[in-house]
Amino acid sequence: MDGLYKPRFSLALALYIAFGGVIVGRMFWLPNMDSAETIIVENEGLYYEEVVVPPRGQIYDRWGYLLAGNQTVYELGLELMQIDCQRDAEFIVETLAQFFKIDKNQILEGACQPYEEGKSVRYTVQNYVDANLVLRVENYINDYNETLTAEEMANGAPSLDGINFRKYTFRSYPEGELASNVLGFVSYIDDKAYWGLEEYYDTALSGNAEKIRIDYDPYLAGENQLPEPGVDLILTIDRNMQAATERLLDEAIQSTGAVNGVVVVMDPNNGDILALATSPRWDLNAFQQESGWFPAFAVARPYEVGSVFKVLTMAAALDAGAVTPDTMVKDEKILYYGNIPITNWSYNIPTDLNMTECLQYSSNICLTQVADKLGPSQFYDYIEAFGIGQPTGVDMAGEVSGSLRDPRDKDWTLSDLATNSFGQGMYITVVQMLKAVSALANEGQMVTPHVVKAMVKDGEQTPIQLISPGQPIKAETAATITEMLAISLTAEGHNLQVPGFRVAGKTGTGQIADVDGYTLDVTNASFVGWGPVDDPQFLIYVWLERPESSIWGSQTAGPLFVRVAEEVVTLMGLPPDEVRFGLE
Amino acid sequence: MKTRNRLIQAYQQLPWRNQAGRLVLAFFLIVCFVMIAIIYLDVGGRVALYGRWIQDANWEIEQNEIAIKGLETNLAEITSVKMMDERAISANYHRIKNSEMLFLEVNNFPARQEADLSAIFNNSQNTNTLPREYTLSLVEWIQQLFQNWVDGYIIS
Repeated sequence: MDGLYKPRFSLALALYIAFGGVIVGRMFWLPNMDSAETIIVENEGLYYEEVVVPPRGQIYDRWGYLLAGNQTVYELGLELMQIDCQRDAEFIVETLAQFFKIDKNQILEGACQPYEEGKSVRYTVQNYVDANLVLRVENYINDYNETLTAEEMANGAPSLDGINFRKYTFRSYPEGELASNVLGFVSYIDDKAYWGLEEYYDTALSGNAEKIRIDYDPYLAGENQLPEPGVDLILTIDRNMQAATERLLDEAIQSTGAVNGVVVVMDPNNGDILALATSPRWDLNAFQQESGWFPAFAVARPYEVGSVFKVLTMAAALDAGAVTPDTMVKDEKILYYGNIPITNWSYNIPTDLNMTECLQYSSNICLTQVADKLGPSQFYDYIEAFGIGQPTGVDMAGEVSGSLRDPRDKDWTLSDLATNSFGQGMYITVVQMLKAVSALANEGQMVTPHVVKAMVKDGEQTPIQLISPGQPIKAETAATITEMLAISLTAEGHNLQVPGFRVAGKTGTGQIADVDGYTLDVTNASFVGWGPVDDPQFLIYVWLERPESSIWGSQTAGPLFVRVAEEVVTLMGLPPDEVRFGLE
Repeated sequence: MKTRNRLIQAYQQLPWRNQAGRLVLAFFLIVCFVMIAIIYLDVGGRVALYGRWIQDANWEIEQNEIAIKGLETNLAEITSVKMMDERAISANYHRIKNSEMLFLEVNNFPARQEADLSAIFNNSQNTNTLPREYTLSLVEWIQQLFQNWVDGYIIS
């Protein structure tokens, strides 16, 4: 009996094993073939590649107010593959004309372009379409589609499916022209950053655009790595202080008739720039309508600063021991030095002056003698130590180093020592002066002016590391010169006091050279001051170019300093000196 | 007890009992394999589904983040210095001077905190850390096991 039934049994067993083997084999086979072939529509392929541009990093003021952000805008276009020229084009054009100002003939021509893969795929109708308008158009299209009956569709009713919106981000400056000279701008025309922080930190802000592979395979869904987003910046700028400073500068420009102006407020203890105002300014959201050079005056426009430079000459001489506050000099109205005549701004300056009076009366003859006592070698060594004629390293694009002749230059003469001692014959930027004068307000230690406080990346906020650029003078010298300037400011008699606070400062009236030499018809009016004297919390530099109401810094830049300082102490919440001294 | 013994005796006398037993065993093994296959394919199918959800969710996250930035910018426009100034003036506020301020000494009063944006941002874009085992196929898993065994054998 086994002999009869054994083959049948063997066959049955073989069939069952084969059946099981097919199931098991299929179990191993399925996961190891390309999943996309079984799951994805054939036309789409396994993956696609695209260049992904991460959103640009945003810029905030020190309190977290947004100064530069990203706005979502839309591009209105027509997908040519979905448009039947005969059936749809005219209807599409009439529909779009209800919402947009368009050239109908041009759009009609564009809509009827033949579709050609890789060459003629989409026709752009309009850029920078507002999200609300997009919503209105999309609602209109949806309503139209819903009202279409099946019969109408079958009879070839026109379709609006070819209308398409593409979303992208667009740089936006919600504060308009506030701090525009600090921020710079991103041009939507060529997608490049120009000036200010936008250009200086462009690489960090823009992140890394990468060509990435987007897998359709859902097993690989988690492995798709998006590019790193741009870094966000937190500035040292105080939005409210910036606005107040700009307002006061605008008022001063109006009242003095100056061509341009710069006011900078800095913390002398660490170099934080709290406000950097210029006039005029650009509206960064409409930069394409602006003309002329970008107003980066504070970093890119060196000028002959005039008498404000005397504070550095005097500080150098005191530090080197060439003079003391009690050293006397004779001012005899004219001094010939290096074959050029040196004169003062006024003939009413006393003849015998001590060093404090030299600053009080802003005597060019006195400072020439001070520089002579110091000697060219030491004078220019100190100038170099103060960073004059060199870039400060401020984190804004476009900084220039200015120009300064020293004894190593073949065209330097002794007369340069005289003119340089009172701030003429050299071109210095505002930030260079800030950096140099910070040593006087910060116990001899200079600070580097900067506008970025911290960066935010991957959820972590990292403060900027600050390195001291050097200590050109001793702390005692800084205290001495500060006291001298506080006394001279009080005695100068131009009402340049900040009510409730003792401040140190110096006016400056720099002559402007033209082809015929220097004239006093047009000047650069400047003022530098800091306070409170016992514990400086602010350092303010003012520059008004070519004021018309008066050529003198004491009558134009000085009063502006006082108004700005009054606003600064209010916004800082700084108690007046007598209140502070009463608390100690 | 009697019924059980009878059943046992009947089975012991049944012709083809050995063959039938082998067939049953074969069927049992096939069913086991099929069950494993069903579970495996079910899990694989769910992985594919969740993978699709992850892809869609990532895209939505990205779109939402872009939208959030846009709204943040809108909010900044509404609360800009210029707008706030206008509102303050219309509400009859005036700019205070330092001489009008009253200073009070308050012990341990915290100073105004500067911006700390580290808590706001949460990088959720590149957080996938699916272990490799979760995406291995059965063959790859067996290959890995074999490779580990070979490596361990060689080392020892």
